[in-house]
Amino acid sequence: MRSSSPTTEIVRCRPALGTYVRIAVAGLPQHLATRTIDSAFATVERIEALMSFYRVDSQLHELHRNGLRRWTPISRELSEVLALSKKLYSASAKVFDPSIGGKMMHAGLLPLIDDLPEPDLKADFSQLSLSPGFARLRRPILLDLGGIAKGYAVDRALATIRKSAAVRASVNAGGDLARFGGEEIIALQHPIAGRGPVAAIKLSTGAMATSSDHYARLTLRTRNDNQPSHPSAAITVLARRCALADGLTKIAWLHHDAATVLRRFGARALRIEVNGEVVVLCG
Amino acid sequence: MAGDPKWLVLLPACATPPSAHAEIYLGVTEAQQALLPGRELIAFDQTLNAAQIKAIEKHAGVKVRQPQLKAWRSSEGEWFLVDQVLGKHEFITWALALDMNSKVLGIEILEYRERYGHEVRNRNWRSQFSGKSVVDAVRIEQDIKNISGATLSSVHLTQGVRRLIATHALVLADH
Repeated sequence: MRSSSPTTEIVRCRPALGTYVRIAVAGLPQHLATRTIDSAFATVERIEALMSFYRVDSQLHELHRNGLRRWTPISRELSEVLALSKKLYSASAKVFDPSIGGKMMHAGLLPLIDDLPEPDLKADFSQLSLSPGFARLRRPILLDLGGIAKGYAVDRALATIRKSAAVRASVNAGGDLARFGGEEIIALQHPIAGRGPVAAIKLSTGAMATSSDHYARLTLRTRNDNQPSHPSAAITVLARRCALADGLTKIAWLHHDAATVLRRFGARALRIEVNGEVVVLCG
Repeated sequence: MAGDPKWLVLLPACATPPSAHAEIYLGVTEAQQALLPGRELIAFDQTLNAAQIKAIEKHAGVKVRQPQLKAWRSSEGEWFLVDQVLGKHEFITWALALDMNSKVLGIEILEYRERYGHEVRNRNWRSQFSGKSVVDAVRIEQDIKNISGATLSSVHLTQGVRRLIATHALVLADH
């Protein structure tokens, strides 16, 4: 049997989270590596089933349906995502606000889901209350966790791999990436699709997320139709965890003093302009 | 840019921008073993005729762009199919395993390819790096595997799954 050196890497790619998820694991014999990768993909699938707005029976929609003025039990995973969302909501002075689900649905940007309470479009994320293992909605709001759940799924998938004896691993969900072991150089693409990489990041243990202004435009559209559209660019945030990096990219786009907010979380960020120029925002 | 942070790698000033990115995850045989372990598979390649294509398109609501089917059947009536869907500009080769009732047993990406446009190949791209210290001399096309950027949607793959499930139900399941 061929022995595997720490550098022997097994890589697999499967569709999940609306994108392509690439998982690489090094330092394990092939049969263990593929089993570990299977577990990591199963973790991603589990998180998606819990939090996706696109899944009619997600725990997110259960909360929407059952949680109005009633404490509803939620999983540890959903609890963690909502708690981090609350942290980002207050740190960004409410700029990061997942309660845009109602407006997104009405604007046709999210699917129409049956049997959901009619959302109060004037209410915001402050209407969500959290208690260990439980959540409650004081007013009917619909949450869109798309700005953070992908990063969270990446973190949990990597945590699954950490339970193994792998010496090095990475999980990359359409550019939301977390890794441990050794060091890797990760290319950053030009914001316009098909133009190739214009810079690269050196990352050892940690995470990164990249967001173009598409999301910001969507959010701004639902907040106020008079907002001017941003010029095309891409922002990459590096943080300890992918869920945090993911959420912070939205703040980086929408907050007038994003660098201050990002620094508080120990994050680093850069922006790639449409002319290929790289601007360091913080760190 | 003075005082560039250490975590930002500047590509060598002499480098030419990459023309493509490709990663091969699995060969066909490996994918067969991954999705249908221990099965003996017999090739059942065929070309769809116009009537079959029309029926599949109607059933799945997805266009059939490639009439050639790359299919294998196991003795248990399971099917293994290799197909291609569009990524950003190039095709993604992928494999689907179905049981005899068209239920999805698994999906694996075999190859991902991306070709880059020529817009990057110009003086401006290089000039931002001139005079800067090179951290590592990396050859982008070969050494860098992970890429971050605006998310590539897997919607074409989802449509491909629907198309192949319809293909199985309408054309293959009788075999």
